[in-house]
Amino acid sequence: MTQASITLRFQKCQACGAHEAAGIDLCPACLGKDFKTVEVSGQGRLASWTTIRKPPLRFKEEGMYHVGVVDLDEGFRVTGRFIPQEGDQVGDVVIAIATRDDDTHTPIFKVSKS
Amino acid sequence: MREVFVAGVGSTSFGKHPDVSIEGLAANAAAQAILESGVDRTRIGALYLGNFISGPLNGKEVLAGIVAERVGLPGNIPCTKVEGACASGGIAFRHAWMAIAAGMCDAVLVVGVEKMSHASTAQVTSALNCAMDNEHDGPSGLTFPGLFGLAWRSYAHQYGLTREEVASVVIKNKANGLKNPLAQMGAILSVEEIQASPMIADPLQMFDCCPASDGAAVVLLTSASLLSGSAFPKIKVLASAQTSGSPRIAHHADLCTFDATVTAARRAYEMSGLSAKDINVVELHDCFSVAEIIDSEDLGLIPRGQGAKWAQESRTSVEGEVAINPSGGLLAKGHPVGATGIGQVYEVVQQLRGTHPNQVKGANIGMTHNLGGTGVACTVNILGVAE
Repeated sequence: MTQASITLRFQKCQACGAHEAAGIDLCPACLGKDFKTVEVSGQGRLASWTTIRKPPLRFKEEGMYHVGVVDLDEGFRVTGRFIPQEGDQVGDVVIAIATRDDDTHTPIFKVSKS
Repeated sequence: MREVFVAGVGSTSFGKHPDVSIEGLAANAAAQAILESGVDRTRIGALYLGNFISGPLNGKEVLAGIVAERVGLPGNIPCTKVEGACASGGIAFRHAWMAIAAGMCDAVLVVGVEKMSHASTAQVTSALNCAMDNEHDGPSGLTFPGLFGLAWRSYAHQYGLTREEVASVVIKNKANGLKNPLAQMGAILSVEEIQASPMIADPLQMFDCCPASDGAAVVLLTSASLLSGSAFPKIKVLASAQTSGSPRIAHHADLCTFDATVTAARRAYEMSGLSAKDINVVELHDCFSVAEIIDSEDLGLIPRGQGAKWAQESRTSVEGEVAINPSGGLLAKGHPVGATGIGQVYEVVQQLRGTHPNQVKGANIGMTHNLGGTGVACTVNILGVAE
């Protein structure tokens, strides 16, 4: 069964249409300040992934975890957490299955196995 | 623009210096460079110091002024600390070069220094992570070894890359380091030993990563008028380029190249009128094994997708077509972050003087490449023996 992706929230510059992650109040492309929150599909392609076995102090208690870079179907790239599975390849279709339940709200991706 | 020359160099060994303060490391290397140059200290018109994390790891800032006083530079000269993550030293060098080229000073002391080995791995990782975009990439938990783990997988997908091929970079640099008395951890390693080392950020393993280091390196740059006292061959700065790139992973469309390196190399070649074929020896930013592969291709020294194969075929050894990191590089010589860019210049100067312990025969033109953060800052220098 194919799991559905959750939607992810980004900011979209109302002047030039550029997408930005949260935490930006000035558009680097046009210097506009009018952003609107938009929901995107959370589906994309896997650009790469790695396993962090020596975390910084902020994530030290987790011991180890996986980070993935994803090119969302809406045309921009995000860095998030990743749940690897056997046989994952760069270029595979990935979906966001959750966002982290902390102040980072980092999306968590995994490869969609059909 | 005026011509700029290297009048003197100095360096501590890179490694562990538990009993020497960060300013003490810098002052010792600075004294060597000044004494070797024969330049009177009263002629030094400015000091630039490259350092990244003396604040978080040592609780010390204003190092430029502190070091100037430690080595008795004239009072009231401008002393500036610059920061550009792992490229801090390279940026200091370029600013000193500009000051002399522009005619503002006749002699400028360039210092690079870092002290890291007393801190825990998690402390060092956190301090280095200050060089990431911590609004966008940091929250994921990404680290710098992680960035190069991502790059490795992306490179393997685009060009093909085996563990054995990457190991050949480690084996070469570790063996080079064994010949360099300033190096922290030279070694004779086998593919099996590298493969058996612990995973750090998959597929990167321990031997693919540079160590945390203490160390300082110093260069005294001068105009032609102050060179007369030197007994060494004249070493001229043929090009010094500095560029920036995106701090965000999102803006690196290709994880197997750093735009800042590509553009810095292009500018350095243009400035010097030279091409990659003219370069005899290179000290480049191999913070991780796979970084040497990417850097050597970004610098135009090796065709895309061939970096690892060239190392495997010994074409980047001291006897090869282009000698890469005969010092041992960051992997074996060590990476006292702020000192690295100046340490590279120190190594290339020894090569061009013909006095390097791992000498590249007949080296006349050398290059240094220093890369900071996620490719957010880069410097490329070309040095040559002046006629």
